[in-house]
Amino acid sequence: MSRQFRKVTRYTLLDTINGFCIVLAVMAAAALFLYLTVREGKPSIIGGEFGFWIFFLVLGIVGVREQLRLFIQLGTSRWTAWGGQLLGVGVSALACVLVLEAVECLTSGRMFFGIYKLIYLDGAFQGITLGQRLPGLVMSLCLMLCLFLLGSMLSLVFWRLGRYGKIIAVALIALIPWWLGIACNRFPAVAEAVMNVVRFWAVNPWNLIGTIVVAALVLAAIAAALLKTTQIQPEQG
Amino acid sequence: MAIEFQNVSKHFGKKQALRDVTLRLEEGQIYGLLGNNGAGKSTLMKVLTGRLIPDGGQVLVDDIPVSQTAALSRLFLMGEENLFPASMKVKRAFAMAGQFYPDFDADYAKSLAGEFGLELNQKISKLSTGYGSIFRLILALSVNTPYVLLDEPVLGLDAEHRDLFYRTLIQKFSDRPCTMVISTHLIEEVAAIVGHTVIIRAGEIIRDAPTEILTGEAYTVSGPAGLMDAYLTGRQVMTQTELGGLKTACIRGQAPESVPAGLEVSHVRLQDYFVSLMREEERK
Repeated sequence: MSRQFRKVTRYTLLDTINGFCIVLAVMAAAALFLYLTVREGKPSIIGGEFGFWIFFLVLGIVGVREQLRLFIQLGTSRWTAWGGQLLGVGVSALACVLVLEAVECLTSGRMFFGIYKLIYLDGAFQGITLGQRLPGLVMSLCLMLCLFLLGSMLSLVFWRLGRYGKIIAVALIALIPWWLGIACNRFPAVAEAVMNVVRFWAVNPWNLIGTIVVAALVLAAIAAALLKTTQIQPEQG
Repeated sequence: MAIEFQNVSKHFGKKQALRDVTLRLEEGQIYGLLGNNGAGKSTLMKVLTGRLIPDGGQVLVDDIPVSQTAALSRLFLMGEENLFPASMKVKRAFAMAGQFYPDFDADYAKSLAGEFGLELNQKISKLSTGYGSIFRLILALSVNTPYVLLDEPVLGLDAEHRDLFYRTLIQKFSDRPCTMVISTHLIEEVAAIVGHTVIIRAGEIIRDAPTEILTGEAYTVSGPAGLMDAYLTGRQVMTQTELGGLKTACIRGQAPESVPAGLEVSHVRLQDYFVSLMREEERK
């Protein structure tokens, strides 16, 4: 591992952890606000890790360009920069997942409550074995990395597009759920296929994890293909 | 030990920015890279530093392709644009340069910052055009890489800072020789320090020779228009200008020992040679 690769990884790790801490602080403030203001029941942010998943998506969108620019200026190839960034994000995502699990346990689910436990463990929180927790941790980790790669890929695509290209691309992306809804409505076979996929995911968390991993690999391949010929330009404006 | 461009081409849409460029930049020289606006100077530097991928050919730094960090770490480009994050402060950028370039002289960088009046706690995005250039110049002069590329290094600098920059550059080169490539429109200012000149036009290298040889290719004669017209007959005139009855011409060939009475002969300056060459190329 070259000196530059280690430096890129370290920079990414610190940068990501810094951002994660800010998101965690905001989440904690939101949870505290709920706790102090909701008079009935035990308030908790259901699916609280969703905010952190979005954090990694945004990190991918913003971080890939910023780091390519910075590290090419500092004599580091785009591949070393991207590889170091992926490793840094991977390590920090792992740390994030473990911290979130620890926070959930320490606060007995009062701060936020993970989606995995809600869907796959019927909302159970107490008496869960490590073997039962593990798929949830792996799922969250894979999803963070997958969303980071999605953000990176989208960023690299948009970096190449002109003004009208960006408008068209955004419109096409926004229409995907609409098209899917119409297809399900008009074609029963499509609706059945979608339901089969959802059942496949619901029956076993490792099925969903496998799908996320495959998606991440596809996104990484697309991002790498784009990175090969990307023109590294300064920030506009 | 050298930088080599081997049949490098690059286009942007229909515009051919670089056409089959073959060029070798040896170690320990100060090169001047001259060309009109849009000639391909910045494109050449960006291809060399990995910011652009060429459509054809390859670039090697000490026999290593520039796609690899091992090659890029031997270069530093002071470009016209800032690539550091907007929120980063000057001193953090210096610290990062120190992490990535093992020979980065932090003390020298700080002392230069003091001489130029650059605030270390300032955010890079808040620097004026001139101080943005100064910031990148200080980095370029402090990294101590074997190859340093300066693309319009004095953009936005006032006369005092330009003078300080050139004196610092010469001292730096004297203390620690390296290969420097200076791309600039201010040819007069660099003429005395550039030992080798590369001239690029419409993406092609049209001249690549020691500066002395290039300026020895032509000479300047001036005098009253009537005498000049007689003298210029039969000679290979690159360019001529007339102002208030006085004519000046740049003539291809070695400067004669003497000229007819009433005329003055002088060696051609690099800038005049460049302008004459561009006009000659346009007429072709």
